[in-house]
Amino acid sequence: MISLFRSLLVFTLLVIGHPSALAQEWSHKGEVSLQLRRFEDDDKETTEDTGLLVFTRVESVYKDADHRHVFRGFARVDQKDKDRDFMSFEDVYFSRFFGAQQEWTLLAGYKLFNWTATEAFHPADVVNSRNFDSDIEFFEKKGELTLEVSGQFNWGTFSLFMWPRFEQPQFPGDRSRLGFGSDIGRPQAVNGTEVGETWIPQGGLRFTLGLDDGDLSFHLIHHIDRNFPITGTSNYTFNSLLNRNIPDNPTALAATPVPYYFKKTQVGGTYQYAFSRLLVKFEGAYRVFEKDREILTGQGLLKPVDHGEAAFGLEYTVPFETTGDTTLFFEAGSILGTTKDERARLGAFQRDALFGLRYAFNDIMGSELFLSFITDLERDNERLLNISYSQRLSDVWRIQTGLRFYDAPQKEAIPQGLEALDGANHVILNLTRFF
Amino acid sequence: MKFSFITLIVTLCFSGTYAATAEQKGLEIAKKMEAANNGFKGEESQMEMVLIDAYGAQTKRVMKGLVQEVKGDGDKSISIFENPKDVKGTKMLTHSHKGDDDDQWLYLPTVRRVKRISSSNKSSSFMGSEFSYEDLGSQEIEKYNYKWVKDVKIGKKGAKGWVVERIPKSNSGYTKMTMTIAEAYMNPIRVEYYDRKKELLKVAKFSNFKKYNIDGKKMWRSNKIEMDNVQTKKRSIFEWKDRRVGVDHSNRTFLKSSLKK
Repeated sequence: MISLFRSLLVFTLLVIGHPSALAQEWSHKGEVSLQLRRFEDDDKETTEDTGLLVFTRVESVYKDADHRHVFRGFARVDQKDKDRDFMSFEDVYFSRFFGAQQEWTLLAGYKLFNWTATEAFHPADVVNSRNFDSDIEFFEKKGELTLEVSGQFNWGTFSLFMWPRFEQPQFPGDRSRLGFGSDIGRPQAVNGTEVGETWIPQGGLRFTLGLDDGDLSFHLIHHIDRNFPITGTSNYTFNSLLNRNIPDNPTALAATPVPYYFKKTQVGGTYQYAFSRLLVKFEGAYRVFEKDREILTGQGLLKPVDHGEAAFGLEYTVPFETTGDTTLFFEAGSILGTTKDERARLGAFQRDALFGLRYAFNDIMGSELFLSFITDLERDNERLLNISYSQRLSDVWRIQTGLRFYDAPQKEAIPQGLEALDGANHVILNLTRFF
Repeated sequence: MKFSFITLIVTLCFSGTYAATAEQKGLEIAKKMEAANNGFKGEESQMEMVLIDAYGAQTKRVMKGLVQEVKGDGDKSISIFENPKDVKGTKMLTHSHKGDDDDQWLYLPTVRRVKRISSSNKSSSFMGSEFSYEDLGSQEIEKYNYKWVKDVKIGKKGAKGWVVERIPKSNSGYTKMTMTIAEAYMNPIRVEYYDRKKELLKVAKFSNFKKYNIDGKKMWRSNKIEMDNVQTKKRSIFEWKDRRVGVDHSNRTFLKSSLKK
């Protein structure tokens, strides 16, 4: 597999070729940010209630008539919690345009995909691995190593993808208040019966269509899932005396459980429709997993569960305001085709609704207030409140402050969904210099 | 009673005729303006906008603009923001339509997302300036009713011009706009904007007119608009730099999928 991918990569880079001598254009931008987050004290010595970090992102883009090459990545260094130190390539790719009207693009490298239509629940946006030590509604993403051929036509686009590598998701450490209270083992891909491979053939296709006042997209992908791990161990044996499965290393299972990601086939799509001041959004997917391995967890042996997921959203812009813009959001998302317990195991937003408001002051400083409230429609007392305010201090400085409040008391022995974040209330203060 | 009835009929007839004439004449001038400005094919320019608050403090916005003329429908345009730095790379694509709401998409570079947005709230401020999206967007004549107010002489030489009222048919932050149009440029040189309370809100002055020759057809474009908000005393000055008219853009440039490129 590695040699095949290398051959393809070399071939692609040769085809992409060297930059043209004509009309070259470089552009660069970046940001350096000092970010403070302070959690409500949880009276635990083992966790870190204060985070103070420096975040840096740089982007460089080269363009000429036939090529577009992009480098974008970020790094984060936390003064207090070394587990938050993180560096990621988001986009590092080379691309070349082909065809009479340059309607075809060949691309190779790391790429960030955004296939979502909604603001909080994202059934269709599943390609990239996430950094789970970030905001749960919009986790940070890592670039995915990609070979892509895409065509751009008047009716829309068509793209074919090959993803040869499983990029590991990033988990919070044991000291993080957004973590699980223990270290998480190295994430493992499950490909058939094989566990732990990194180079795994994955791929997909996607097309988008423009339909008057609406935008439609459809995708079919076959890849290692990045959002619904089963955490436990794949190393266990059946003990006939005890008549149950026993982990080969019980200490490791307790101290550093491993998230296992299974291969799946997903069909899905999005639709956005503008109707006067109302924007209607829909996003849905159905996932079928390979189930050749079972994982031993605290709840016994588990296999991935096939399921659907749908999200529906409305966005309404309040009319005729001359001082600012008020936008109201409503979204509801649900996992479908499972039992209530299975849904709870699958994710924090297994059947939830979001109510949101954005007020853009439309002033020189680009001031903006954003409020969102997510509540669970199925499980009692699971809520997330987010309030943030940001504004420019000058053409190059921006400040953001906010509050996040998690209310999801634990109901059973093992916390599920948002319960893992109960009480992780915190304030943030970000000061960013753009260049 | 008989006299009053006849007087009423005569008054109604004459006022109706006068109004129809004023509206027809207004529409005729608007059509002449459209005909004079049609055929520009496309535009590409660097744009600067200076925002001045009531105390005189200034800040500058920079963007790049591309426009493509569409025969039989509204124009297509892309604005690419360059300054302030926090919005650098943000793009807004607009497909204007003559008889329907515009289609509009925003590209958010940080999250690599193309988002469809509602184009209905045109009255909101463009980048914190005194210009609204409506002021800077495509001005399709089908979206307004027109009424000629008077003929005027412009400047020291007394060049011919007209004052025409433009009344939005729907979905606008204004109740009317009073335009002073110079025949020489076939473009407005001054526009007064009246808010929803029918009070004067803003005054725009158009200057720095330049003549462009597109395939033998000559047309004028203002390269500077000064917008004064008479209610808040804030000002904004919009200037086109390095403006190229007659550019033949590829259709592909204005596709939604091109925003990510």
